[in-house]
Amino acid sequence: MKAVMVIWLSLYLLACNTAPNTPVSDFEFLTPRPFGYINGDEIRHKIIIETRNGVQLQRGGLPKRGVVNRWLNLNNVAVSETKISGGFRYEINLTYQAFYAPLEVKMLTIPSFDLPLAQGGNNASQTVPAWHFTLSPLRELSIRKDESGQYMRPDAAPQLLGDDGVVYGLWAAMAVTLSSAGGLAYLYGYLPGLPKRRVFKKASKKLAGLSAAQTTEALTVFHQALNTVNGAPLFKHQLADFYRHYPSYQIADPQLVWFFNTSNQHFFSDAAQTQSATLATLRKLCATCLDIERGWQ
Amino acid sequence: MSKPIALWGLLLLGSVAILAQTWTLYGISQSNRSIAALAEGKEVRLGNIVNAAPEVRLARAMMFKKQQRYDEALATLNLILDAPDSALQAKIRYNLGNIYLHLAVVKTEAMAVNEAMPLVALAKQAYRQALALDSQFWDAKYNLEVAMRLLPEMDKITSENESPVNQKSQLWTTVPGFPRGLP
Repeated sequence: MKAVMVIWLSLYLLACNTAPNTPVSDFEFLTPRPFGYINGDEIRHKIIIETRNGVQLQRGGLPKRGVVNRWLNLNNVAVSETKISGGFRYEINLTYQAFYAPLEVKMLTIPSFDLPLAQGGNNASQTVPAWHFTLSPLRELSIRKDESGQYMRPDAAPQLLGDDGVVYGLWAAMAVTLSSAGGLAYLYGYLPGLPKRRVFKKASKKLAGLSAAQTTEALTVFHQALNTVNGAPLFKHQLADFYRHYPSYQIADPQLVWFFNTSNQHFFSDAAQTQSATLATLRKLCATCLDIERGWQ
Repeated sequence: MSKPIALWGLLLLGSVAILAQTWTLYGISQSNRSIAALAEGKEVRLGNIVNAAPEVRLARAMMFKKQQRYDEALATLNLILDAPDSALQAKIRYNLGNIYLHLAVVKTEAMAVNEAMPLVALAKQAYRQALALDSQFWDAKYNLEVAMRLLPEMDKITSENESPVNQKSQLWTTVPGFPRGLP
């Protein structure tokens, strides 16, 4: 019994000693079906290799893109590396292309190669085995001819150029143009059915046509404009309520207060005013309100 | 004031884009008219070819081939070998291979084997390039097989006394029974 225990212990220790010394902890060679290929087909191989103890794949030793042999090309080599506990995991994707015209179904072999590995000054390698597959002919053995001689597939005719992308681009450009034109028309008060956007525009025009002596008319025009925006006659004590409904006019508050004071003074007081100064200030106030109406302020 | 400036900017940008897209559409329509005319065997004004899409030149090359003007067809195809679209490139190389193969078959039937061999080699190269760009190009696979049957490829038989340098640079030959020692 003692002897058996000693043997088991020895084997266990041996296993513990040898396992971490191998540089590769996992190796998988994933291949597609090994039959049913024809001339010009691509064959994709995937190699998964996991290393331990910081062993790294030497990428310079991987197969190079290009001609492998007379009938086999290596079109693409893609390697991805991820760090895992104690080592690295590599995924190597190889795309081969076979150019072979057999007379009957023929077995071919993609040759074996070694993946070089290194850790510091130590080198090792992992062999990727050869892979066998069968390739079939595309045409019969006897030569078939048509009226023009040896039968071959006809030329590839050029397709008409597609314009879908350009048409979509044109629609998008038209949408942008129309939207911006609509926005500008709205801002400048050219859109029918939106009279409030044109209130101060009309008032500005009327004020521009008045002389300095027509202060009464000028004040009336601006009152009417404010009443139109408010939807009801607007008085000085209602300004706070007006700003609640139309907050953008808040910035013109000092000027509007001036306007109501001037108006009250003009219509209900006998004190004299400088009429030209009133009209000029009123025009400025109307211009400010016009900017607010257009959304510029 | 920034809102109307942005809107004016968009209006300008949109208007320029409309003009550019309309011009591009006009160009596409012109090219398609040229392709249709060339497919019917009608010659197209050179001005419509020079700045046209590679598809128009491809159509012109096919017209030349139909008219048995093979040199002009080959020259036209060689001009558009670097077309930006890889599917179109595959088509161009396939058609190039077809011209070489057709000429090779004609030479073979006229018993001019020495003239046919390089043409078949060129055809195979063109088909391989087409298949490297599009491995699902069935017509290229088929015609490559035709070319390979016409001029089979065989592994070179090597002997003991050949130097390793030569073995590396000439692993295979394209012609069976070709006298050894020739390039």
